[in-house]
Amino acid sequence: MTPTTPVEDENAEVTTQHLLFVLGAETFAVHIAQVREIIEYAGVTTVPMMPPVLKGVINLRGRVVPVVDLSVRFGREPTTAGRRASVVIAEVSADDTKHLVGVMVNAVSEVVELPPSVIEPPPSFGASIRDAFISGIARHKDKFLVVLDVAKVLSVEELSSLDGQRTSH
Amino acid sequence: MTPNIPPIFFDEARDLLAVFQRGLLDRGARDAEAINALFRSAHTLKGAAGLFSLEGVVQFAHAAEAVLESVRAGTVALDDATVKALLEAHDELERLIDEVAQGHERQGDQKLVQVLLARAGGAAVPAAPVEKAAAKHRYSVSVRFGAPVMREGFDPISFISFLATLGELTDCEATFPELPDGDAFDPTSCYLRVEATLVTPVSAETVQSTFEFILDSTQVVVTEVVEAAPPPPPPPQPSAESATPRAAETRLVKVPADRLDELIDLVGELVIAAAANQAVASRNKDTATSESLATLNQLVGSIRDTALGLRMVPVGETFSRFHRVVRDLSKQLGKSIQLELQGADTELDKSLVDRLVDPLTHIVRNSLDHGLETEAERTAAGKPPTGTLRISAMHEGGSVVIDVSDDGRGLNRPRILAKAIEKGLVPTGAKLATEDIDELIFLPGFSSAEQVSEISGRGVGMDVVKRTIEGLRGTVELSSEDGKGTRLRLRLPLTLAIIDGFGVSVGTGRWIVPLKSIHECLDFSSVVESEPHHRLSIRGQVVPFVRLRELFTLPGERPAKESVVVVEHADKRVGLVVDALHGAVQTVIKPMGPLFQHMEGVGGATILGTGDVGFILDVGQLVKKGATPRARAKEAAC
Repeated sequence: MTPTTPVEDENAEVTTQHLLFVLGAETFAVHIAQVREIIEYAGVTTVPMMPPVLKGVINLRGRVVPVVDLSVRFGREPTTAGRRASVVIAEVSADDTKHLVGVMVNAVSEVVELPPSVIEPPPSFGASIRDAFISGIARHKDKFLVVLDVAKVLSVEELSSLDGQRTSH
Repeated sequence: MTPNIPPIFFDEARDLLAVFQRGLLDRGARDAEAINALFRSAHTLKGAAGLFSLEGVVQFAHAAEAVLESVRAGTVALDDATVKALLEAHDELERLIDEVAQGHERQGDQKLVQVLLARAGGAAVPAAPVEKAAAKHRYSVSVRFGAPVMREGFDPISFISFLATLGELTDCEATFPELPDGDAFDPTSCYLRVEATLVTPVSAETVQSTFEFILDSTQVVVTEVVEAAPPPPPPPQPSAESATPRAAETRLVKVPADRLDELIDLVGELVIAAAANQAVASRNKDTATSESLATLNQLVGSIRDTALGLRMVPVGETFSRFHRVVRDLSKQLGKSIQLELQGADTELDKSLVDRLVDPLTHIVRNSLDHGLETEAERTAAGKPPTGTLRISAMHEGGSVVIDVSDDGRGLNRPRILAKAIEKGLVPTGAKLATEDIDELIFLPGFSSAEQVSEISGRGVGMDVVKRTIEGLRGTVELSSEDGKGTRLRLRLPLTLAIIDGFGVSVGTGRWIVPLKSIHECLDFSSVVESEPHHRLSIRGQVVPFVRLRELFTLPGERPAKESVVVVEHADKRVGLVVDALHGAVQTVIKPMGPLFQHMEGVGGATILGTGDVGFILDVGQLVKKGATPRARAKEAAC
């Protein structure tokens, strides 16, 4: 390791790096601290009787990790797996334990600096997705990006109750 | 030669000494908490050594404890000289314990004891005078317990047990010379007298002080029996002795639980990797590799069993805590209840045992509160006045069965039904079968006590118990007979980590059936009796079946030839119809995480040899599904 390697974990709270990814026609941003890793999408094992939002499970080096279709979560059409489709592995906590959840996206673009000065609070209306999912709107290269609140988007409670509703009838 | 001292004593003693030494050496920690910790380790060591009458160790631990007592009281400073003396005491204790481990017991260095006790000064410790400390006294102890002792909440036997920790308690005899007849007998009064001989290094006053709390009512006479010269302590063994093998000493190694878990995870990965190799070899039809892999797999299998065995602990430790629960609660409830434990040495995965404590406690409380009657009620019903609660554990196939049963009044089914109707859980006027009524108590929001009592009504109901057990891939069965008692039977898997599985497939999906629950595998067409009625006929016996494809709405067409796997759970059988059978495979159970917590019929996931994810069927739930009232109703309608 060279001394110029940027320190990551220790500065997780102060870093302003965000991961940009494409979902449908839109680009979203998530704070880098909430991302564990990114892997290529190579299909999932469908779990029977589960709602479309739970796309399936994958084998992540011996762990069984659920994959969420973000597009369905936002109330849109299911994501179609293209050549650049990826799974962003995020860490979320439920009942005081941490779980890995994968998010299927069309493509991962880049990691950029989004300092607080360019991020504005979420609008109270007019957003195309539920405002609870949005932690802010960032201006980047003359475009506006939705910065997602990963904890809310991947709320284990909500996702599992969705499946509960589905299987209860 | 020392009598049977379990290896755990040496293990614990060394741990305590290590804590003791660390505390002394850590100059940063000189606050009350640190000193208390030091004191506790010396005190615990003394108690433990006392249990085995290791007087040398007891004396030294006592001296160290006395010094620390003075430090705690502020009369002695924990300066360098004191620390040095205590460290020397530590070293001597270590030597003493090592020698005991090799079977030689001796007195400690008396000069050092004196140094320590002198350092402790006139501190208020129940210590024998220095010169006496070394000697052993033989006392005749006569205790005449006062009548109100038990009413005051004391347990006479605990005093005698404590006496035994002071030294060697022999010739202990209990008599009841004043036990009155007939109506004069008061069951809450104590009529006990105990005569015993105690050989101990402590003074008569210390022995007497054991009974300090009950001296108001109890007469204690401690007299010293003068003996012809006590047996001389065995001479220290010459150094040549150290050459003798330490054969008898089994050394225990304490390992942090997470390291064990890590090992088991790794073994799991190994199992998966081995299965992957096997899959490749059989795909390539490489017989030589397949054969050598078979040997490897056998080894992996034994490593797996050994690794899992490391986590197995007897359930007895968990069970014995219920003595306390039963004693306290029966007192509180004014009932006379005895607890019987069976199969305490049955082994179970540690992580399972830990998670069983709460549900079991709840079941025990329920049984004490609702199930067992008061003495008067029992006498009126012609039963023995003392109720019995029995907790037993045993292995049965691939699972562990834990029964909690009582000989109480049994479930009050009319009241349960009335309560369920009142709560809106069951429509008014509904007629339910007995077993369906029993199931009601497992419904969320059901509490059968007329008034939620402080014993069992603590916000957790039987629904939580059931959920917890099912979360552990177990089942709960209830059986009850009016006036005879109630039994709850918990059936749990032996382990949470790895099982022997049997691979089956439906379409492109792979499923694992726990091998232990499989009764047989058959050709579907040869045993199907009635397709619309979902019935098989196996050697004249009718067995219901479920088709996995329909149950899980799986894609794909039914093949021309289907197979049926007959599984058995809790004496019930169900046939699972699948497309193809793939044979036995070691299966590492991977948790599915909270997102799938509501899934039915699936107990977990696993990584297959191909690297794909497969799902493990929850046979308990499937068997139930195969025989649900709805399925029966459908049958009747057809």
